[in-house]
Formats: sequence, structure tokens, C-alpha cells
Amino acid sequence: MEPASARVAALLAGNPPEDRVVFPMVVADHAARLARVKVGEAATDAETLARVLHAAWQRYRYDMVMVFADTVVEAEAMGAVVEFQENDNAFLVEPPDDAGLQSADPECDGRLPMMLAATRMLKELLGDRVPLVTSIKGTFTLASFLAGMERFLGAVLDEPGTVRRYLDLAHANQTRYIAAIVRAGGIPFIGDPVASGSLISPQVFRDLALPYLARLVDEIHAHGCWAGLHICGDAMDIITDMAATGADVLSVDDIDLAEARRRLGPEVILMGNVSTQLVQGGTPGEVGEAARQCLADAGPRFILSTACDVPAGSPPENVQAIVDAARS
Amino acid sequence: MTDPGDLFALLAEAVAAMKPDRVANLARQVLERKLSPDKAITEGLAAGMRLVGEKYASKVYFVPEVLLASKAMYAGFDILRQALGDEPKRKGRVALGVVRGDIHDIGKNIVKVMVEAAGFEVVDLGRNVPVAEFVRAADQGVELVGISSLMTTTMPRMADVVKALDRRGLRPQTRVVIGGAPVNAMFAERIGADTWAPNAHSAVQAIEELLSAS
Ligand code: B12
Repeated sequence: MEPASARVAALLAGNPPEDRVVFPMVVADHAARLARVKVGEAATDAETLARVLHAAWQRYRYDMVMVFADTVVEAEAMGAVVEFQENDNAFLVEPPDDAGLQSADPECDGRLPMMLAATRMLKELLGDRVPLVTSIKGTFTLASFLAGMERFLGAVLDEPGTVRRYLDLAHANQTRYIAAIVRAGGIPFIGDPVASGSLISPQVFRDLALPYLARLVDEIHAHGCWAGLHICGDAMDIITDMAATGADVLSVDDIDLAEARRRLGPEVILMGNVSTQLVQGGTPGEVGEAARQCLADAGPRFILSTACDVPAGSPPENVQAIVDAARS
Repeated sequence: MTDPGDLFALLAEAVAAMKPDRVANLARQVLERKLSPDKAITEGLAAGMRLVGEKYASKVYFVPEVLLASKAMYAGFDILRQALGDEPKRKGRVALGVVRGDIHDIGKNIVKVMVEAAGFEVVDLGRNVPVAEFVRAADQGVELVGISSLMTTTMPRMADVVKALDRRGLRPQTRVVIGGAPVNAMFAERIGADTWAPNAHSAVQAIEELLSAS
């Protein structure tokens, strides 16, 4: 086995490798900038997306590759209106028409086929040398996109029927998408930015986000894959609930890793969390320093990464500084 | 029978407890007893939302709690407003929007709820708002423009808004407040905004200060 896959496999098997595992979350936008390609093109064309992600990996040589165009691919495939920007991430303009809302067909709706094709191409390019993960949205986040953010968050406490309906629709969609990703050679990696500790209470997370995340994790496991889970914002008070989903890798935003480790115990694999602001605006020295601090705080069962995806315009030297911190 | 002050306190409590039906009931009692709807709004509903703002700032409440409490507040407001006859007296008109390229509008919406509860009229420009729309709002007479941005990549567009207001001769009479997680006092000063606020609670204070001074 090649180094990257071997390192990740060892980590997952409970034998942290000597060489630390590292993956700054480089996704479509930063990779496109590196390759001097429009972000809008990388997010809509499979060949371009695969090519820029592959080129970024060749440049930095981190231990994973993530297929991620933007946060709205699933919602778009289910009928949401999306606005594309030439040089920035696409965003949601309108939720889908509510009548007749149903799960998308991953082989033909929206950009899901594009995501699957990019996954297949990267699998071809990378083979078994590097773990290939394909980003999917967590159920809570996708449901909030389907309902409309304010409508959804405003219903969370007093309209359980409405909220469940959107969650169930989102879940059904993700079940099909997960299966298609695995067929394409990817490992589904969950990001649930709206189930964030910055937005909802730990109680709401436990009631409405956790059960659905646990189901996604079970399905990913049933396909024979390991499961990663990223939650944005302040996740300290839900960190043990994140572990309760059964996910093998818990990726966290800007929180104190030493404290997170203390709450979780030594076994759980954490991933994170060099500040994205620092990666974008700091010096390579500062970034390297922050990365080494993460390595020290999180202990051996750890994937060194960024707090969220690497901002598009980050200086490449800063991304490199994270990779180098794991190698030295 | 409860005395009027107590009824207002109950209103505030019901708002803070996120109970739309209870708030509506109490608001109807205010009208039946011919108490001042104005006072019921400020000492009841707005006071309740202030409590909500405090609970949010100290992480007892989160976004869904604030949204449900605001549902409760509006349930009372809609009833009391009818008794005010004309549009209720407002402390001033404020436009709020998230800059172009940024769709993070949850923070802006929370600020909107709190600012409305404090008695201002809010013109909601929405998210992903081009510079020209901020300027148009100022042209049409809002006294203050509140600009939100959650991303370092879109923050510079706040400076563009201030510059455009300047060029149009709308500064300094149109006040500018900025906010959003990456914003700070230094940035506000650098781009020539009047001030900034780290959360919805202090946003209300900042706006009250700016507009009472002018
Ligand atoms: C929820 C969220 C989302 C949701 C947004 C849903 C919505 N409708 O708003 C979704 C999932 C859609 C999303 C998408 C993206 N996101 Co996002 N998101 C977040 C998250 C987790 C929380 C933001 C939030 O709502 N907080 C809660 C609210 C209540 O707080 P607030 O906004 O700060 O508002 C308070 C104060 O700031 C203040 N305030 C706010 N506005 C104003 C205005 C005035 C006038 C005043 C006085 C005060 C004030 O008062 C508010 C209430 O107290 C943050 C993480 C974080 N740490 O903040 C990332 C974050 C903001 N996102 C980020 C990114 C990168 C993205 C994406 C680009 C991801 C992608 N690759 O596609 C897209 C953006 C697309 C776009 N073009 O905008 C980054 C930004 C990094 C950067 N460059 O600076 C962050 C910081 C995550 C990270 N750590 O990297 N995101």
C-alpha cells in the first residue's frame, strides 16, 4: 500500500502511524484558483473538478482527496435554485418547490452525476494510493435547505411534524446518494454545517440531528466504508454527541482541541482545526506553529486539517506549511 | 385583578418563554382593560425580547429559540398594533443587508428581530445584496444602514458600500453599523463605518446611541 492509504488505514485500525496523517480541506474553490481555473467551471464540470483536485494533491501531497464542489449540490438536485459565481462558491437562492418534493436520482439530477463522474475520474487517477472522500451534506443541513433556513430553524421547537417531514425527505435523498458515491469509488464524508453548536442547542442536536446522522453513519458502514463527520462552529458542547453518531473521524471547527480530547478520551479520531482565517491571512510560520499546536493538543489519533475548507485565496505556502508540520 | 405593570411583566415573561398563544392572550387582555398598547409594546414585548437577547448572548438560547420568541413577540405586536390606529411611532428607519456574494443571513435576521423589537422600522434588504441597493435605501431616507458579512472574502464589500454612500453625498448623515463574526472595531474604523457590534444585543445599543445622538 502507498503511504497515504497506509497511514489512514493504520490510524483507523487504532495504530496511529509514526508519520502523522494530514489533510487541509482543499476543495473546489482553492484548487481552482491554484490551477487558474474559474471556480464556477470547477464546480460544474466533472473533468475540470477532478483535474484541479488532482493537481492540488500533486502539489501538496496530503493524505486524502475530497470531492466537494459547494454546499448546495444535493439541494439543487432536489429542485433548489442556485446561483453560480465565476470566481466564488455557488449559493442557494430559493428552496425547491414544496409540492412534489422528493429525492433526486443521483445518476441524472442536477450536479449529482457531475460529482459522481468526478469521483470516478479521481478514483481512476489515484487508485488505492490515496483515500478518496466525496462530501455529502448532513440531514439537518439538507433539510434546512429544502425548507428554507428561517422557516426550518423557526419550526424546530414547535412544529415537529414539519421538521420531521423535511428531515425524512433529506434522509431518503442521502441514502441514494451515498450508495451512488460508493459505487463510483468514493467514501461519503458528512458535513453538517447547520447542525452547528453556533446555531442550535445541544438538546436540539440530540433530538433532531444526531439520530439522522447516526443513520447515515450506519449506512456508510454498511457499504464497507469508514465515516467522517464535520460540524462547523462551536461544537464543544456536542462533541460527545458527535461521537455517539458512530462516525470514525470527527472533524471540528475552531474549538480547543485539548479540551475536546479531554472530553472524548484517547480513542476517538479527531480532525482539525487550523483557523481558516489564519490560513488565509497569516504567514507560513504562524500557520506551521498553529498546526504543531494542533498536533500536540489532539494526541496521536488525529488527522491534521483546517477548521473548515481552505479559503479559496489562501497562499499556497500556508497550505504547504500545514502538510510540512505533519511530516517533520 | 393584576395591576398593569404586572400584566406587562407577564407579557415580557411570555415572550421570553417563547409562548405565542400566551402572548396573544395577554395582549388581548391589555386591550380589554384599555391599557396603553404603546407601553405594552415597550415594557412587555420589547422588554421580553431584551431578555431573549441576553439569553442568546450567554448561550442559554440559540437561533431556534430566538426565532420562536420572535414569533411570540409578533403575535402580541399584531394585536396591539391595531389599537394604535396609525402605524405605531417608530424610533427611526434602519436598513439591514448582507453583502453581495454572501448568503449567511441568520445573524442579520436575528439582528433584525431585536432591532424591530426595540422600536425601529427595519427595511430588510436580504442577503447577497449589491452595493447599489444599500445606496438606494439610504437615498430613500433610512437613517442608518447595517451591513453584515460573515466571510473574510466578502468583508471588503462593506468598504465598497461605505465608499459608495460617501460618493453619493450620503455620509455622514446616513449612519453605518457593521457586523458579522470576522468584523472588529479596527476594521470598522479602517473602512469608515460609524461603529460595529459583536452581537444582536449590542447591535441594538449601538443603533440607539447613533440615532439618538443625531
Ligand atoms: C451556518 C453557516 C453556513 C450556512 C449559512 C445559512 C444561512 N442562511 O445563513 C451554509 C451551510 C449555507 C453556509 C455556506 C457557506 N459557508 Co458558512 N458558516 C456557517 C457557520 C457554521 C455559522 C454562521 C452563523 O449563522 N452563525 C450564527 C449567527 C447568529 O451568528 P453571526 O452570523 O455571527 O451573527 C451575529 C453577529 O455577528 C452579529 N451580526 C451579524 N450581522 C450583523 C450586522 C450588523 C449590522 C450588526 C451590528 C451585527 C451583526 O449579530 C449576530 C447575532 O448575534 C459559520 C461558522 C462560524 N464560526 O461562524 C460558517 C462560515 C461563516 N462559513 C464559511 C464558508 C467558507 C462557507 C461557504 C463558502 C462554504 C462553501 N465552500 O461553499 C458557503 C458560503 C456560500 C456563500 N457564498 O455565502 C466560513 C467563512 C470563512 C471565511 N472565508 O471567512 C465560516 C466562518 C466557516 C469556517 N470556519 O471557515 N455556511
